[in-house]
Amino acid sequence: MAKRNKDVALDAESSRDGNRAIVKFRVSDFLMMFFITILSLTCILPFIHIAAKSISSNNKVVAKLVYFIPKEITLEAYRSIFADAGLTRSMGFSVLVTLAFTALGMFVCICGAYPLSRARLRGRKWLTFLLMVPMYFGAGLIPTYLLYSSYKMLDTVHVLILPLVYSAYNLLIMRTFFMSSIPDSLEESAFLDGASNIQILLKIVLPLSKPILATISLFYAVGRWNSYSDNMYFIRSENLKMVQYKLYQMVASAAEAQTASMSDAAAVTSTPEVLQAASVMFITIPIILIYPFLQKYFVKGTMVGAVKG
Amino acid sequence: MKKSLHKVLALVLAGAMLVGMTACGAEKTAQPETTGTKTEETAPAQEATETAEEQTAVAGMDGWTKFDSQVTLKIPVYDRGGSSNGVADVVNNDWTAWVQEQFGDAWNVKVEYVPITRSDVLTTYALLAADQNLPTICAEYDYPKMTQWINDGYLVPYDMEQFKTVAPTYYQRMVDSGLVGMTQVGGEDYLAFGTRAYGFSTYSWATFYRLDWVKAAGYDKFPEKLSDQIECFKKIKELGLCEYPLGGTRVTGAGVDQNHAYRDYPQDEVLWATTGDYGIPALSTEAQKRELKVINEEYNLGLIDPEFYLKETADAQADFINGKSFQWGTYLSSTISTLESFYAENPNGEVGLMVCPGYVTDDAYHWSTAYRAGLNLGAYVGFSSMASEEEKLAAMMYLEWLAQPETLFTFQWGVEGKNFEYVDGDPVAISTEGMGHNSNVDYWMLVEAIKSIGDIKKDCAAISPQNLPVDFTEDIIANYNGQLDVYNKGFANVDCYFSTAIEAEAEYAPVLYSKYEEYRNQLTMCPVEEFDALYDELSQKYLKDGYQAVIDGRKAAFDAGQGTHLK
Repeated sequence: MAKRNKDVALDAESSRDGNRAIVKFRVSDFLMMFFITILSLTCILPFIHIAAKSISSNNKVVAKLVYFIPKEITLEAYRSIFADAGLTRSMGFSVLVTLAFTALGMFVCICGAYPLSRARLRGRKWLTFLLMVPMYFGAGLIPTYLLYSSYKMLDTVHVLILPLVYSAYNLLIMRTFFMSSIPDSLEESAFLDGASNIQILLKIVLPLSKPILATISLFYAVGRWNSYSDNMYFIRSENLKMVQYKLYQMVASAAEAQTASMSDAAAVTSTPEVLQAASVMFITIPIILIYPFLQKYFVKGTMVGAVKG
Repeated sequence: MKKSLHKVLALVLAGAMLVGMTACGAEKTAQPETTGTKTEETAPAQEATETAEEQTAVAGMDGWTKFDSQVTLKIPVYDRGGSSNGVADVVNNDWTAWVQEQFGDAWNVKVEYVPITRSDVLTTYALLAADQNLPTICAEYDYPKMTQWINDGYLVPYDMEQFKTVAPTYYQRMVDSGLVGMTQVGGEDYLAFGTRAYGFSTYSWATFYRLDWVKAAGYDKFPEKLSDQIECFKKIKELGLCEYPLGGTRVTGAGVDQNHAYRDYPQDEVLWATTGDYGIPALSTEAQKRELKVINEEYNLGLIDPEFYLKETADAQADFINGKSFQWGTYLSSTISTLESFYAENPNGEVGLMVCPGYVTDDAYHWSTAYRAGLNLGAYVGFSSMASEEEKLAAMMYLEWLAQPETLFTFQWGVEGKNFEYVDGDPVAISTEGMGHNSNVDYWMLVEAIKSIGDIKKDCAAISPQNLPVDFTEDIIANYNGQLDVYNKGFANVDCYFSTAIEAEAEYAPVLYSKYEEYRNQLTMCPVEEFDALYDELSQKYLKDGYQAVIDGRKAAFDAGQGTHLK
């Protein structure tokens, strides 16, 4: 009888799939949902705003009459973008650089994190400490520029890939994940079966670490995709400019056009706001499309990687 | 165990620092070697001087001889990231190839263009300088940047006599524009100048206003005197045409609240030299007090938006389009999208262009139509300290070649039939295809800042906005003529230019911009009767914030003969 009463009590708070929170809606749940909704809107609304602007007429946008609903819908800005061979070419180049950077970054990160996560590595605390130093100290722009110059890396694709492939932050997360998720006993049993270090890494550790691999890959890819300052300072050739830097130049030159003299018969060459918005969409959409496929790993990976080892 | 670990760690870090410092020291001790390299470079430099002497026997291009061995000339060009017009790659396009063919190949010079990020000029030059890779010519539109580069050792003085002989056309342009006296900094010739047509006037800037509202308020055009203008705004507000006719935006940075209209004329020269500049707002001066008092009155009359301090330039633009403000100012060009948007949103709206009526005064506000005149000066040009004598010579030759009328014309107008065609004997632009930013201005800015046909009426017509219900050409010309009248009567003065860097300006300008915005907002929004006392109080604060140091620095430089005089 007592058992039956307990079951009834459970039923009262649980849905069929066992989720209690859905059936009994508490004030705290409401508050959490409210704040999460507000937080989500702060991310989504600017995106909708830009999307609406990108397909509205320039007149309406300049007059600041477009908020979340497009007005006088036109796809002219997108046509201009696709007609501009320079921008589409830069997009392709950015994708290639991002892929190469992510692949190389993951290789470096795995090769660094795995040994550092193993207790049998002598002096691993020292090594970890040394590898963490760049996380806190940087040389500054001019010394960095001179360093790249002495390595003949300026104005080459290498300067967009090599300097940032080592990331102390990513290494730390991955090392922590390996330490907390891959027990030494598993490794020892593999050793007993005759596996080498490389085999253990490739056949045991990495297959068990999909969440963190996806998470760090996303960190690398998004980081590379969004940054443009290295383009600005270290790249001069037009064909090596990534699409994000082109967007930055577009916005910066439009801002400058509002203050600089345009006393000339030629048309003003500042980029209309609509075209800027369309360019933002054009550049943002690829990374947004990738995100849903990695999201399930992403959440899990960050949570696990964040546990102190 | 842990303590000993920490000790070892500290030792290792100290060791690493020592190694680093030794490495730095090693670079310094390597100086004799560097000097040796420099000594080695002296020989070609001497040869170059001899070549220069040979080349300068006859003035101008006729006296030039081809370089025996190829000389690399690096020319800066702004990279604005504009992908329009087919000149996206500013260092490698049809125009750069044309320069190489016409100039480079003719004189055995390899012309390399160096892209300069337009939005971050100082950083770009700093990186190039650190890498010992400055362009042969360093050019900018701002004088403070040039003095900074001189102080930082980027630029070297040049031989004016050599320059006159190698580049007589370019030099003559400087003479004709009255710029020769400004080439010296610290007693040596560092600067050459591109010119700017009609530099005294601001004819390429226009303020558009609601003519239909002015008519509704009982005027046939925008009133000339300030008293009448304020009356007009009050009527517009009373009629309910606009809640805050003067709108208003956040005021910050250099060039805000220019007080020329409120100054005493003829100006006191020391006051003009110490507080009459464009850079730092002159809070604490009588002229600034008069100006801010008018703004305070307008605010208290309800003519200015109470939330003006939250609004940016783009908001003012939108307010004008949406009928929420009376006026909006912009540089003129053949396409002004704001006006196009205005007419689209207000099909029955009427827009006028404010015309300078000539010299007019209004004693009620101690106001006049006086304004800040500019110089006939475009870009400032200097020669890199890292360039050899041969490279500097090639740079002078390049400037001379660029200043040739036929070179300039082709660069500015492009190809006949494709980019322009002749109408009544004058070129008229028909297409910008294949032309860079504003008709390649970033290439020919070293010589000229704006494209001019040489006739003010035609030049005004060229910048008059097109495809609108109204043709503003006559108003633009009338505005120019009004300014010319003010200038000729001596009420439009050029700022004082110092041939030395005023250190206090660089040190205090950012703080003063921020403080001025804060104090200005307080002075705008305070009750009318409290204005005088508050102005005195905030002036004292502003002086202590650094403005007094700026005034003292300028005064010292002016007394030392390092400033231009009032004309």
